[in-house]
Amino acid sequence: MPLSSTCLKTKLEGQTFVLHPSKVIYWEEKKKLIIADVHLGKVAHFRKGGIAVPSLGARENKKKLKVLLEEFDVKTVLFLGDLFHSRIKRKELDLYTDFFLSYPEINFDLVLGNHDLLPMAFYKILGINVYEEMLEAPFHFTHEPEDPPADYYNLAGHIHPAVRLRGKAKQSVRLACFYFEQCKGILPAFGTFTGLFTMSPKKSDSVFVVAENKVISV
Amino acid sequence: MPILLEFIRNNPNDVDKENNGLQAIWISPIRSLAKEIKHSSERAIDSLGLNWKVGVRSGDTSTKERKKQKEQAPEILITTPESLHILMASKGYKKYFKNLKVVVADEWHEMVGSKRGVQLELAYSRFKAMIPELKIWGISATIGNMEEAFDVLMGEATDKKKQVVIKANIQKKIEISSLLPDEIEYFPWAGHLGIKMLHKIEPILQNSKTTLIFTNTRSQCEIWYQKLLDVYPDLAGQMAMHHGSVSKEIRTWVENALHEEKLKVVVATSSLDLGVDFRPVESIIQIGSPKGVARFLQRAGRSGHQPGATSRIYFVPTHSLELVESSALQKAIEKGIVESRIPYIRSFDVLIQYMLTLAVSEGFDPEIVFQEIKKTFSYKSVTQKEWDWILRFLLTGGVVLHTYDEYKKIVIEEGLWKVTRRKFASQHRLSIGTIVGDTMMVVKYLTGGKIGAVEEWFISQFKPGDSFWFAGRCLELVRVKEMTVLVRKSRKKKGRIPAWLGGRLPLSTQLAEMLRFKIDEISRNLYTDPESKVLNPLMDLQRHRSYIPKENELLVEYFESKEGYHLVVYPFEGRFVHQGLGSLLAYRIAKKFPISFSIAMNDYGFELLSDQKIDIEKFITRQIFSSKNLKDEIEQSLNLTEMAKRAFRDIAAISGLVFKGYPGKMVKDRHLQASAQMLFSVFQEHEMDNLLLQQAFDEVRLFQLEEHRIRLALERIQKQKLIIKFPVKATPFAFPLIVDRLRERLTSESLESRIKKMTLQLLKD
Repeated sequence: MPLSSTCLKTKLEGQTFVLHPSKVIYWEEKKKLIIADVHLGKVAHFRKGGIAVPSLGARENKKKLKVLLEEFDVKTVLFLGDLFHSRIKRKELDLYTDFFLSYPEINFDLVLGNHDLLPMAFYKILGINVYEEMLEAPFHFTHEPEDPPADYYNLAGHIHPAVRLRGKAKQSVRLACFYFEQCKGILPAFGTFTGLFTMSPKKSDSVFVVAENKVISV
Repeated sequence: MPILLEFIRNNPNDVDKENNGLQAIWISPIRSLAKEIKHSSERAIDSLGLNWKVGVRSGDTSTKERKKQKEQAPEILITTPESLHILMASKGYKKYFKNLKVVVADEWHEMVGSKRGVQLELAYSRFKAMIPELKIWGISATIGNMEEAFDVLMGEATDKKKQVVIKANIQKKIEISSLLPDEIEYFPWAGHLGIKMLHKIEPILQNSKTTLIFTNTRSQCEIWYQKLLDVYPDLAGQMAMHHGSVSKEIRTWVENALHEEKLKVVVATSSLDLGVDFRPVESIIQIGSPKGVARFLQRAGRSGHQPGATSRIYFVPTHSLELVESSALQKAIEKGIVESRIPYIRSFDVLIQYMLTLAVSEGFDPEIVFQEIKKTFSYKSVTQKEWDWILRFLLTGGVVLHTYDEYKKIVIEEGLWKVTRRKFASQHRLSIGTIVGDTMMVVKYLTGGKIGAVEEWFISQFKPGDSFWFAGRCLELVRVKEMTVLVRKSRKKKGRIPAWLGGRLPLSTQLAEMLRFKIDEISRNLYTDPESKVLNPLMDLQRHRSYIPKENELLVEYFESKEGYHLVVYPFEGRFVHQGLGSLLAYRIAKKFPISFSIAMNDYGFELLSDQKIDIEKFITRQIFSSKNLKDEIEQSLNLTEMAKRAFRDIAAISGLVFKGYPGKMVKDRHLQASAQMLFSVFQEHEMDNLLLQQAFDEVRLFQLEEHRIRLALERIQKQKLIIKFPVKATPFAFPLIVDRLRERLTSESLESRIKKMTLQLLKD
């Protein structure tokens, strides 16, 4: 399969990960696409807070996902929590049903996060399997980073990690990143209208920044 | 007085008649003035034996009082532009105003350069149509564009012959002196606090009954207050602080105590610039450059209020070069040069708000309103097409928003445009006004007792248990409950001082010109005042390391340091213009080859810092300062869209596109910002001709970029001789720039190649 030159291939725990500039990981051996913090419906959430704004985000997120599903040979999509931002209404769910149901050959799994407050029946309608956490050797998938069980490596989202890079002549940038520690890894947030948290990396950590359309090791 | 006399002339037989209906409205930009005006007009009424009532209507007026005023209007109403519009938003406003004879705009110079002035223009356009013989008065301090300010107030189509300008023939004596550092060699080259000069002000405090100390920012105000207390503990109990974030109760207390001669020192910000006069004040101290002549004069005028007395103001420099600003200020005052206030025109947000105001009260006929607003200064250029856009916007939400019911605000009933939904009407009444501040969180003691308000983002950096200085006390954060910050007194001596956004004012055009004049004098070794004499050793150093430019020369310095390569240019045009010029220059160089710049600017010049060496002789030529393609290039170099997006937040709030929330249930600032930005992006994508979107860009061009000033500066530079110097070390002129951390960035390198030259910020061990 032709892999876009903007991705970065790396080995983790003996497994092959493709880090994609759309801020997702493709786990080659398992044909699994791992995505954190999509925050669907974040825009609608603002509307409930008394501020009316037209919803745009949903369409864009769906478009981005569609492109990824065409680019990779995907068997499973695993969402690491915060797939939906808030309680959406049954009516609004229709915005998403056609999307999820149009991929009958793909498994959609969700590890629940702090924002995932929808009734379980909704996930059923969308055909999404829901888990509190998930073990699939050698990985332990959760929403918030946790210490994994022995011999496992934890992968999570929630943090929306970023790092600051500095150079000569007062140059500096802050970029979203994939962040791997000794036995824990954190994915950047997939959604657009989300903030960033600046990490303070240790020497032993591996950091891959998303620089526009490219993933770069720093 | 003329108002009263006319009444007597018209009603010779029953002058002591009661309940004559609203006769006159006095509009004042600040609430604190109202009380004073009420007292003096009541005295005048009594002395003439009239039976008039004087009412005050502002944001502070109680509901009971408002109801009373509504049932029986006072003859004279003292109010603010906002409250006036709120009155127009209630049913029966036409009847309420029908006896009106006179409207007076007090401190018009304060309102003319703001959207509050536009609000007044709109209210007047309605009144003039209702009452053709209405008299309009304006009271104003001297400003540079007096005639224009006059036209703004009067609007078009009034008979020019019936207009008069009365000038008060009082020359107030002002005594200005700068406090000079003992040894200029040890005085900082950069900085903005001025604490080093603290010991110098003691004799001033001692020799005057009361002294007002003006600072430029609220944090500077907090710091000076604290340091004064540290050094002179005796001042405790005789010193107070006054700034915009301190609660109204405390501010009122300070103002009263000032009147009653209970205070020796008040440390204040611009919050005390205006308002009632405090007779006991004998001296004014200005810390740091006021950046404008009018502001300085206004502050000086706060002292010496007895008739015939002299205003005394002391200027305290916070760094060496500010001494030149001080002599420039004095030169400007000597020559009688004052800044202009640029009136807002075509503010569609205010117009939309006004139309909604009419629609929630009695409804309006678009034909009539269009004729009325066309006669105002602000809206005389509005076209039929633009007017149609506004009407469609109010009725349907426009091209983009028509699918959302929230934006269909108006319905047409029997030819009248009305707001019928109660929710819309109540939201609108709460949104009337043109000042959109940051959402403030109330700071309160656990035991009750309000201390003031701070911005949401300031508090968000603290955890419970942390302490910070606010309103002159050290407070410990206990917890944050919704929009309230609960605190207790902290026993700690150390705490953070709130840094408020903004505060860096640019040098006015007029003052910049005087500054160039003074620098020119110094370049020719003319030291005509004590300030420049003191600066002599520093200027010698500048001359030794580099050069001092004459008025017909532009100085450029280029040198290398550990940080990289510094290109520093000194047009002496003020910070906003330098921001534009700096970005423009960076953009033009970066177009030639991939390079990244970090840009710093102040009122004297700007610096482009890069990690690559530039061939200065090749690139820094007259051509790079050309004003050709200025408009396009400046927009590309400065990220105009980003600036307009920020300006759009206020426009969205004023025009009612976003709602700030009900009292006590305010929407969080970042949510407000987020939704305004989303609307901006949607308009930009689907409705480029949206007038509110256009307005955001226009406001940025006029008030932030000051494009016209950039153009004038470039034209001036074209006539100047270019002097390029390569100093071995940073010069006194360059120093304040290279240490400035607040920077803009511009790059033509790819993100990837920039990242390759950078390193990860690792955790500090």
